Amino acid sequence: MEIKDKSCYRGDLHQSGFTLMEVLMALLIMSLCLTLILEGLAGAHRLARRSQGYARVVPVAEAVMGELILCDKDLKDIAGDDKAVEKVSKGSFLCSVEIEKFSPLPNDAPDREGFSLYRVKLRMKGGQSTPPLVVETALP
Amino acid sequence: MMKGKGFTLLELLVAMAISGIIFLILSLSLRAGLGAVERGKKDTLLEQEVWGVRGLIQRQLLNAYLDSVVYDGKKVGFFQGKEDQITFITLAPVESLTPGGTSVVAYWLEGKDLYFAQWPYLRKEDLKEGLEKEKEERILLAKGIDKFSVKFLTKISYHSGEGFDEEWKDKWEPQGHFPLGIQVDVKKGRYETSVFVSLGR
Repeated sequence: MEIKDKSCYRGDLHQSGFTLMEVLMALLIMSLCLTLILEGLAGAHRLARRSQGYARVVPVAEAVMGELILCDKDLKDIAGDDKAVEKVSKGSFLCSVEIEKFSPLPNDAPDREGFSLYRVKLRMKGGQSTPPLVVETALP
Repeated sequence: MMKGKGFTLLELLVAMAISGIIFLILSLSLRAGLGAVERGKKDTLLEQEVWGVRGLIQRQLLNAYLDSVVYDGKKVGFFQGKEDQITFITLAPVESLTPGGTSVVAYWLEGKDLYFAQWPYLRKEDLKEGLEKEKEERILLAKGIDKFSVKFLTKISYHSGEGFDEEWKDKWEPQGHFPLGIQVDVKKGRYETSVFVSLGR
């Protein structure tokens, strides 16, 4: 079949280009895809940083908790029959330590008062994007 | 005729210039990405190596044998160490060499190489005999270690608002008691970690 009007290949606006709506739709889809990809990348980066933060902070938290356990008598004196909150620094790390007297027995247990423990809760920040690491133990 | 069939030279040049720029940007990003992957791999391996060493030392220290043994004819609590080496008895050897699984383990740094040795401990024998000889059968645990330091906690108390009051020693000889705790620091490249094990009062 012979094509008579060859101008339909080039120069004819109806055949050779996209409408404004098509371009806008394409841009919208592309920006949505890009947003999703960038969001995924940012999430992965955030998780990697969090994991690195925890890797740095876990040995320090373990060390502080180990040392606190060695100072059990001092901690019990500080807390007394109630609760105490202390700020402890270890190297460049700062953590808060909560010491609280509690009884693991039910409220109506007869020997409740005679059986008590001390809860030691250590809260340490690992980095800007890392939620605080919480380590807890009980001292007899 | 020419107008309808193909591209003009200018169009081709513009298209080539645009695709050239796109390829340049892509290849630069690809190179940066591959570099980041390589760095990430190295970092992960480094981290795994340091954490592996840390894990082994921590496990063996947590299972340290805290009873008296005969050393140089005397009954002592056995821990021996200075700055970059430590020797102790553990109930968690790498592989059990004795029925009870009690082994003497030693870690020490020579240059930038961290060595490990392990030999069975039979409670009747004097530990001092053969202590150096046994270390000859050593295993290279890690290469390129920048820091391996050991210190021994001898005194600790906590004061409200002031924090810990600690006393550390960087040398320990077998004696009538054990240290309160042991801290081992390991550093390789930019990766550094430490392990503290409390031995109790």
